[in-house]
Amino acid sequence: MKAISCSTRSAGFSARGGGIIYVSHRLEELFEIADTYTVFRDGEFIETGPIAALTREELVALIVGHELHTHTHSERGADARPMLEVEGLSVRGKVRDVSLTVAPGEVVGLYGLMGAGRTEFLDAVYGIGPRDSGRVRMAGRDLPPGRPDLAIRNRIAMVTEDRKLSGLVLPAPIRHNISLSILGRISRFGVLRGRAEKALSADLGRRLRLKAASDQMPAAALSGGNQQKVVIARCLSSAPKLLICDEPTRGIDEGAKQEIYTIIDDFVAEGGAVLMASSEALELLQVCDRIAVFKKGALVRIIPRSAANQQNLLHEVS
Amino acid sequence: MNNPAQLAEGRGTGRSAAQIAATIFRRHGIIVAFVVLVVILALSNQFFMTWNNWTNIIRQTAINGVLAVGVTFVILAKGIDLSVGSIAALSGAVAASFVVTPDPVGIGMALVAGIAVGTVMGLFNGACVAWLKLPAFVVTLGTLSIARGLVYIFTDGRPISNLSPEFLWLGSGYLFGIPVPIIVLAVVFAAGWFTLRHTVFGRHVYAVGGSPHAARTGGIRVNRVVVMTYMVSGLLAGIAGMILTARTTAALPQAGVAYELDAIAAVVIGGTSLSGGRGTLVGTLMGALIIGTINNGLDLMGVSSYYQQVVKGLIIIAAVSLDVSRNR
Repeated sequence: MKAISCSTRSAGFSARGGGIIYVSHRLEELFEIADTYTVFRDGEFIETGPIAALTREELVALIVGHELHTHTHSERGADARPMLEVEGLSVRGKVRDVSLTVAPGEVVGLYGLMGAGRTEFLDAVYGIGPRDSGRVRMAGRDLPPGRPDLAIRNRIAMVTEDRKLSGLVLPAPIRHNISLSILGRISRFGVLRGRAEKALSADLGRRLRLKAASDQMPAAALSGGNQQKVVIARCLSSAPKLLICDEPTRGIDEGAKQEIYTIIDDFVAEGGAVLMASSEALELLQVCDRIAVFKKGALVRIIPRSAANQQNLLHEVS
Repeated sequence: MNNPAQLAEGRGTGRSAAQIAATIFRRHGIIVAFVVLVVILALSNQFFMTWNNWTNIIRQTAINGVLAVGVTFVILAKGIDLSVGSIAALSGAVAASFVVTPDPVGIGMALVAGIAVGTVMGLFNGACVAWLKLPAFVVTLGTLSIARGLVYIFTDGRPISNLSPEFLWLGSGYLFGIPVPIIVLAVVFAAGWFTLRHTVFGRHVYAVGGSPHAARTGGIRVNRVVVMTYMVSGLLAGIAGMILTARTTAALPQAGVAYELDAIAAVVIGGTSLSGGRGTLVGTLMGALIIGTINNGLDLMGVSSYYQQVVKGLIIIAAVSLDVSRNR
């Protein structure tokens, strides 16, 4: 799926009579600088018109090619028993005394400026980053710091911020990336069962609509969106109940973004819980039930979706 | 978004003969290089293609090959092991001390002790690298010196000789008509190949070398895997050391000096990336055979061993430059 939005004009330049064709999938930019839009998809012209005539959602629908499904599950999991309980978590110089719970069937977002401590908080919860104090409990069981392997065993999985550095083994085949976390389960006495691995990879690849010629290709050969799907496939392979996502849609195109929201939605509909950090307020407003606002390493406020909008989120962080 | 399916399709159509040749060379360049080398040597020396000479080449390759299999594990996991030559000497000396005639303790004890010494030295390397977070190059350089020093202390600087015939059989004996060192290499190679390709540990080695961060995120105990690769390398150095001792019929204090260079060269010539995560044991075996053949060929042509070192060094640099250009 290829989506390009073109637009003309930019303040100073066009004031002097110049025209600009601006190609981007960053929609905020387009609404800021464009007068007219033109949408291409899969190599075809779709539509053109004045940008003031449509909303962001309508533009996304044109790019993606179908109506966005709106989330109906308002205030999910509000009174369920929490699945993840974080108490007084601190990371020296990064995170100060953060307490937070996530219930089954709930998506909790983390919003904040760069350096607000969101990534450090998530890394500490999962165990790939340091944790100096505080407790992390998953389904009532304490998790020790620095042990992502135990987090996985306690049904947590994490999509990290930098998929090329910490998400994927880039030179390894897609199949090996997908099975990475559950090699123990698809082996007998330490010997891998090739057929079980092949089936696992085929199944998850189909479920996530992964586009690749073969799952024997190195993960490095995939586009950003498909690489992120491989990361998510690896996460889902261990049948987690809590999915931690740090900027899950960074650097991928609008179509793949929407697919990832759908995956998150399906995951939650089946009783999973999601803890997700993003620097895009709109994304959090679309996906989350509650949004925790981080500022200088502290959790300043948790806003339910019904009360949250771009203005008050921005107001809280600045 | 690039559609990989379309890309692959595009690549499949209309390939020229030159492109196919280039692909073959990239994938099987090592085999091509080996064949070319053999043809040149066969044409330039009448003794080269004799049965005796080939048995000799493979027998000489056996020790380096066993070392190189171990070093492959370490390099695949993004490490380096410079200590295998010294560890081999130490293991050989300790094992030899159990089989000195007239009253040997027994070959069983000798084998266990030799393997244990190698494995423990590997554990030391791995512990320093994984848990103390010291650079592998420096740690194993230190162990190179430590193990060599221990050999001199243990042997008092003198050869341990008069070894029992059962032990010497490891170096010069035959099993089913095949020299024992070659059988040992075959078994070590097969076990290593199976481990890397078909076991959880092997997959962990590739993952850790390909991306330590991603391996950790995926739940792999990275430090443990790293320690185990050094233990594999030490264990195989122990085995190589015992074959070496048996072949030379005595444990010499200066045995195995600079053997680590040939082992690392075999791994690199075999196409394993020094940045980790990519490479195969088949490549390593070919690399070891190429080095053995070069040594043998240069001997037959009467090139002095001084020049041989220069030639080998140049070949290592050429192999690394190939690896670097592949990564670009």
